[in-house]
Amino acid sequence: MLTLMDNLDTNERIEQYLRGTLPPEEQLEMEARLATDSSFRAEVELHRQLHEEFADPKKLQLRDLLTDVLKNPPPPSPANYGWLKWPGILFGLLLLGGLGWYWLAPDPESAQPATQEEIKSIPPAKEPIATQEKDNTPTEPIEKTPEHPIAHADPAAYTPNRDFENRLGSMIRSSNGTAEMSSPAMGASFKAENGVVKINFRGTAPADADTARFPLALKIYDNRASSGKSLLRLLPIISNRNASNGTWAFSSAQRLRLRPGLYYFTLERQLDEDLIFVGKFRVK
Amino acid sequence: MKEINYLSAIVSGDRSGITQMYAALFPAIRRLVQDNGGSEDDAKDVFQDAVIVLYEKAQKPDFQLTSKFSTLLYGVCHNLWRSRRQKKSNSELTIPDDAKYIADDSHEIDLLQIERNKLFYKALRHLGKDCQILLELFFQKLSMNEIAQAMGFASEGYARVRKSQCKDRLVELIKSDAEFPELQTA
Repeated sequence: MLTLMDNLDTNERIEQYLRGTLPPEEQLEMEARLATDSSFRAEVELHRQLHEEFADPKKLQLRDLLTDVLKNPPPPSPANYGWLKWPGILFGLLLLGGLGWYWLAPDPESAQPATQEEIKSIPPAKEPIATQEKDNTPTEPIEKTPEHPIAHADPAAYTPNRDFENRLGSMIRSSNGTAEMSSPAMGASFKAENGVVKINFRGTAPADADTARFPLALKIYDNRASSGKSLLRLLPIISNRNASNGTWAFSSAQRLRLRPGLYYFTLERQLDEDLIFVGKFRVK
Repeated sequence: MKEINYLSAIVSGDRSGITQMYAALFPAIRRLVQDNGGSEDDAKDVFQDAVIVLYEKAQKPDFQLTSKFSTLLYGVCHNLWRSRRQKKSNSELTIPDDAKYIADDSHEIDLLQIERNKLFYKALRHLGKDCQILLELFFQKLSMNEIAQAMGFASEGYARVRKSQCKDRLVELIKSDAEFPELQTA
């Protein structure tokens, strides 16, 4: 079985060959092997195709853009009513003006200024921390979140993050089935008590060789996350391999100090950060 | 937006222009596909693939837009859908032209390459975010030292190891896809 170092060496050689930077004697060895070993030839060809396809960043961005537009399609183009255009605009302006005058006209019985009791106070910004419940959860170090508030209690805190929205659900590719989260439900809302929400991240993943080899990591992001920078990184316990349906169960019970807003979480293989599941929840 | 600007929107990745193009031209593509045994999702696939094909054509120095953009797009979509259906039915297939658009069959497409590149893209986007960013930088030919700095890695050696892990995972995802065996070239 090939080790990591074997693979590293093979990848390096293939990449040097494709760049034309192999030393002459190694170049000859490579070409001799390509001439006789059809599976190696196919492997090198795959690498060449990958390099060719991903060399242009704008093409990749175009694919992402198209995926996004097709998932959130615009309304169809309006029919051509050009002859109605200017009268229609004039009518619309008059209507808006009339409504605005009606709504904005001063009311003789104007409301009293808000009292101190009516002004809702926003909890002071505190560094959000994750505390683990007292059970057999792992003692792996937990990343601390930055000191500034994660999200403010404003509408922008609930704006969907397109990147995550496009990937919601199970990402795992396995003939054994898909990863499933039994908790939290997709888009579930949690009410913070004294700024703390209790969430139990629980689910199952196919018990294939990869899941056994690479333990899982749970990452939590706010809706403005970019460049993969997570707020928190946790290590759920993997347990209960079910031989009858070939799944692993995992769980992580958390008490999280989070501001109101929309949050996303990813379940990944710890070693290579391969995505298994993307979910979201709200904090009220 | 004028049709000629659709092509520059594709080349420059202008979201607004591409959105307008979709709103204006997708209905005809949907009609083409749905009238010939396909679904709305098939139509979206065909549309997306056709736009990528046109992007690739526009990169060639000798490319010239000699017909209306909508005719060109329709022609590529027409070829794509016919090729896909032929592949499924294993027989020759004729798809009638839309009354408004006449398919231009002179724009050849390489269906195998299109499907293969789409599989590559899907596999890349299945990776963790750090792996995606790392591999994108690598395929854009940044040096390991530049990649290490961009990713915040401690050393070039670590960047090399992570790159190899991510690339192995990408290749594994591609090879494990049910469609991959058919998409390999000899």
